[in-house]
Amino acid sequence: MNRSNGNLQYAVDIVMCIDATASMGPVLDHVKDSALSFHERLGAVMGSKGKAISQLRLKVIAFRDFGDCPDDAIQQTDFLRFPDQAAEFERFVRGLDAIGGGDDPESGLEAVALAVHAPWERGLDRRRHVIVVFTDAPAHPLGSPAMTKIRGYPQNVPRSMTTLFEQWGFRQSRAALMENSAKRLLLFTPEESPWTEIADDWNNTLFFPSRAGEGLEEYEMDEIINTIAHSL
Amino acid sequence: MRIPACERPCSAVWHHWDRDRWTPGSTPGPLVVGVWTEQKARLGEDAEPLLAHHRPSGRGLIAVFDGAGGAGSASAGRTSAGVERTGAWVSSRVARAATEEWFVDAVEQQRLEAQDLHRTVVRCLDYVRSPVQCKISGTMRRELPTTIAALTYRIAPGQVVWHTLWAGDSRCFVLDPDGGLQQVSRDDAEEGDALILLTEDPPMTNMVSANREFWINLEKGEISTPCVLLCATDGFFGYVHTPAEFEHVLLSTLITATDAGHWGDLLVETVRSYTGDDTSLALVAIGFRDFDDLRDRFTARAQHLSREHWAPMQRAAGSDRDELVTARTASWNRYRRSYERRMPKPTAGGLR
Repeated sequence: MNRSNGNLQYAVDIVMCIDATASMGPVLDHVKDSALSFHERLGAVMGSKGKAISQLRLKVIAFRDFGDCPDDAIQQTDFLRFPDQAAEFERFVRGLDAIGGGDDPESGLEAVALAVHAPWERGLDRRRHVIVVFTDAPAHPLGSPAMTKIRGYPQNVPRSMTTLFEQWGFRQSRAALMENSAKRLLLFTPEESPWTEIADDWNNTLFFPSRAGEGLEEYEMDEIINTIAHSL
Repeated sequence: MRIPACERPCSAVWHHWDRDRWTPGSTPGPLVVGVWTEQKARLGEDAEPLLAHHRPSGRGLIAVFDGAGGAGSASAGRTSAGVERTGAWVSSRVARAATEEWFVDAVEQQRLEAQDLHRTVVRCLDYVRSPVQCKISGTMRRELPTTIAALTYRIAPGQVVWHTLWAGDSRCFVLDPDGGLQQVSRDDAEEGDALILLTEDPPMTNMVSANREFWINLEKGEISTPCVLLCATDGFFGYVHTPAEFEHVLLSTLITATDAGHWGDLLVETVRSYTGDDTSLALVAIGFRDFDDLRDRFTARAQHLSREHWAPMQRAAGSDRDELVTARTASWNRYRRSYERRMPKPTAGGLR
C-alpha cells in the first residue's frame, strides 16, 4: 500500500541581491554568513519535513551605485548548482568588499531587474524562484537619463518602475517574466522608497525592515527559510 | 456523544456508525471517519477533522482546517510546557472551534447561514490575535492564516443535500460508486486545473486570516444515496502523481479494510508513505447497510482506477521524466471529465 513521492521534483532557484556599498560594512560579513549558510539551513528544514530538494541553484548579484562607479556597480555569478558549485559560490561571496556607493540611494532596483531576467529553471515540478534583497539604502528610480546613459548600464533593465512591475507580473499579466506560481520576493530593506511600495504592491512579497548598521537577526533568517520551505 | 480518538504517535483516527435508530426501510444512519496525521510530533498545523451529526434533524457537518505554514510560520507564542506554536497552528484550531460553534448554534436554530460562519470565524480570530504588531509585512504575510473546507449535509429519503463552504485550497468532494470522486469546491488559486495545481502548487488567492479580508465560498448540491461526502487538506491530495491517484488511495484502502477503524488505519499508513505535509480528512458515508455493503459497492470502481490510472503511472514511474509527464497527462485527460463534473465555476469571490 506504500507509495513514493519521489516523482514530484522540487526545483529551487534563489537569487541574492546584496548591497556591497561602504555603508553595509558593519553588516556585510553577517549577510555573507547568512548567504553561505542559506542552502544548508534550507536543506535541514526541508529534511525535517521529509522533503528533499531535487535541484538547488543560487546566484548572487552584488550591487553598488552606477552613479558613483559604473565599473563595479554590478558583480554577479551565474546560477550555481548546489552542492557541486558551493566552493565557487563561497569564493565569490567571501570576495565581496563593502566599498564605494557614495551617498544614498544605490542601484538596488537594477539588481532586482537583473534578477527578474535571470535564466530561471523552467522544467521539473514545484518550482520556486526566490529573489532575496539585502540593503540598508533606498534605490535610484529607474529610467533616469543620468543613469541609463552611463557606459555599461545594463540594457535589459527596464526604464520605468511600471515596466519592472509588469515583468515581475501580476494576476493574468502577459508581460511577466516571472512564473506566478513559483516566484517569491523577500526584502530585507529599509522602510523607504521604493522598497515599501514594492512590498505592498507586488504579489508574493515578504518584507523585513532593516536599519542601517543592523544585520539580519537569526530568527528573521529562520523565518525566511521557513517561508520558502513551507511553500514547497 | 463524543467520538473517541484512536491515537498513535503523530496520527489519530475517529470512526462511528450511527445505527442505533436505523429501522429497515429507512436510510441507514451515517458512518463517519476522521483521519489526522502530523509530520513532526505535536507540531501538526492541521486541526483535527471536525465531524458532527445532529440526529433530530438529520443534519451534519464534516470539515478540515489547514494552518498555512508559509504565510503563518511566525511564532504565536509558547504553551505552558514551552512548546512553540506558530500562527498556522493556532489559526487552524481557532477556525475549527469557530466552525463547531457556528454549526451547533445554527442547527439548533435551524438556520445554517454562511455569513454567520464568516462572522464567527472573524470574531474568534480577533479574540486570540496578538496585540503586538509583527514587524514583518508584505503581500504574502498573513496573521493566523488557515484554510477551511466544510460540508454540511441534510439526509433526506434517497438523497443527500449538501452545502460546501471553503476558503483556501483544502477541498470538498462527493464519491459515489458509479461516478467516482468529484470535487465540489474550487481552490482559491489563479489556476483551476487540478493537475497544474498538483505540479505547480501555486499560492492561494484567498484564505482565512486575522489581518486581511477573506471570503467564504458557498456552493450547494445534492446526490442520491448511497454516497460518500468528504473533505481533505492538501497533504492528502497534493502529493500524489495524478488527481486520480487520490481516489485510488481512498478506494484501495477501503476495499482492503475489514471495518471502518481499519480503513482509517490504512489511510494513515498510506498517506504517511507519500505525503510531505500534515494531513486531515473527514468523511461521511450515507445509505450503506454495513461496511461490507460500502466496500462491495466501490470494488468495481477501485479495480477500474487501478487498471486505468494506477498501473500506467507505476509503469511510467521507473522511466524518464518525459514519459512520466506524458503518462500523468494522459491519466488526467481520461479522468478529469468525471472529476470536474460538479466543480463550481470560477467566481470573483464568495461571502465576505
